[in-house]
Amino acid sequence: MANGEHLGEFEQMILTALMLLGSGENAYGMTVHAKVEELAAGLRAVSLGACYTTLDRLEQKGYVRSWFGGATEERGGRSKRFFEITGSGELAVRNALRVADNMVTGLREIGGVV
Amino acid sequence: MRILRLLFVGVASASVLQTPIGSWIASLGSPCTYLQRPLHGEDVTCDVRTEEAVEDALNVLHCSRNGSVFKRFTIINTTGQSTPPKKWFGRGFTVEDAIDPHLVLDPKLAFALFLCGMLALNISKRVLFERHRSGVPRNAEFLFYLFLDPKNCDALVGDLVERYKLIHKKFGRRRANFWYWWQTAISLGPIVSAWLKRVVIKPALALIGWAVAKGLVGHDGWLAALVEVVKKVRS
Repeated sequence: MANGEHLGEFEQMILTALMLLGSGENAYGMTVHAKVEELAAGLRAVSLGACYTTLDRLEQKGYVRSWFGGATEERGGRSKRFFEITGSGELAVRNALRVADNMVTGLREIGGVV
Repeated sequence: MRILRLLFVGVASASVLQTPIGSWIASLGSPCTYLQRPLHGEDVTCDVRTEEAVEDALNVLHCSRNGSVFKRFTIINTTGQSTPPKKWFGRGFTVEDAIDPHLVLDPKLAFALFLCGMLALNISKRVLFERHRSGVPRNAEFLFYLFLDPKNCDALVGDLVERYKLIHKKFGRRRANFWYWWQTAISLGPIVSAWLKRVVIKPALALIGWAVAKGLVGHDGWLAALVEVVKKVRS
């Protein structure tokens, strides 16, 4: 992983959401928030502010890159901030999923998980 | 709601037009219809017994002839002398409707002015209060401006506005405002903590680190004293 950083649970969710939304201009604050809420499946509360601060942190770590779009009328003349996962971000998610997969496999072997 | 508001504005404009000032405003440069020609010597035969009946009869007469409503009538007798109406309870008299020079609006023009006033008021209201009418709660928005950098703030508030408008359209202003405040409340926690980390904790840690380093290297008096106190407490 980049800089030897580990991903927190919420960071994993954000990166996964970005992977699901794909590249281009699909991923911005509201869509990321909606996707993360979908992933959380009501198990944890997700606020838009938390999404933004986490995305900022991930950008500083180099897992995400962002750029600003043009201002639109429906947003009261405010611009959108689009996000995209980077290669190191994808790698970080895969590594995290591999760890989670190992945990699930281990638990299955002893019958701890259905 | 919008229709009711328009109706209210329309009625208000019409009420204003009914006042002398409104009439004067309306008469400025507009082709208002004044009754130019008093009807001299019109014979009116009415069987009237009361003053009100005389006026009613005259109203009916003039309305039917001119298509206008007169505000005041002076009833004169056949000799042409002005006489108070109360003396003319009887059968058969001649009137001259000495028309009140006060503006009498043509109904069509009045309706046109009514619509113009309605439109003008509605437009000015929209121009003046656009931000408040379609905008999000200002105080909640301001909280984001306190703790976020301008670009991030614009992006986040823009996202909220986008959703706010949808909710406003679907559920009305009150629920949309509630939703916006709720989102602000739950969003502020992580934002403020990130802000504290960036603005307060990191500089404070840097300052402490600097002080410790300086103390260790230079053996400043206050730091040495502090170290002594810590040592004593520990022992």
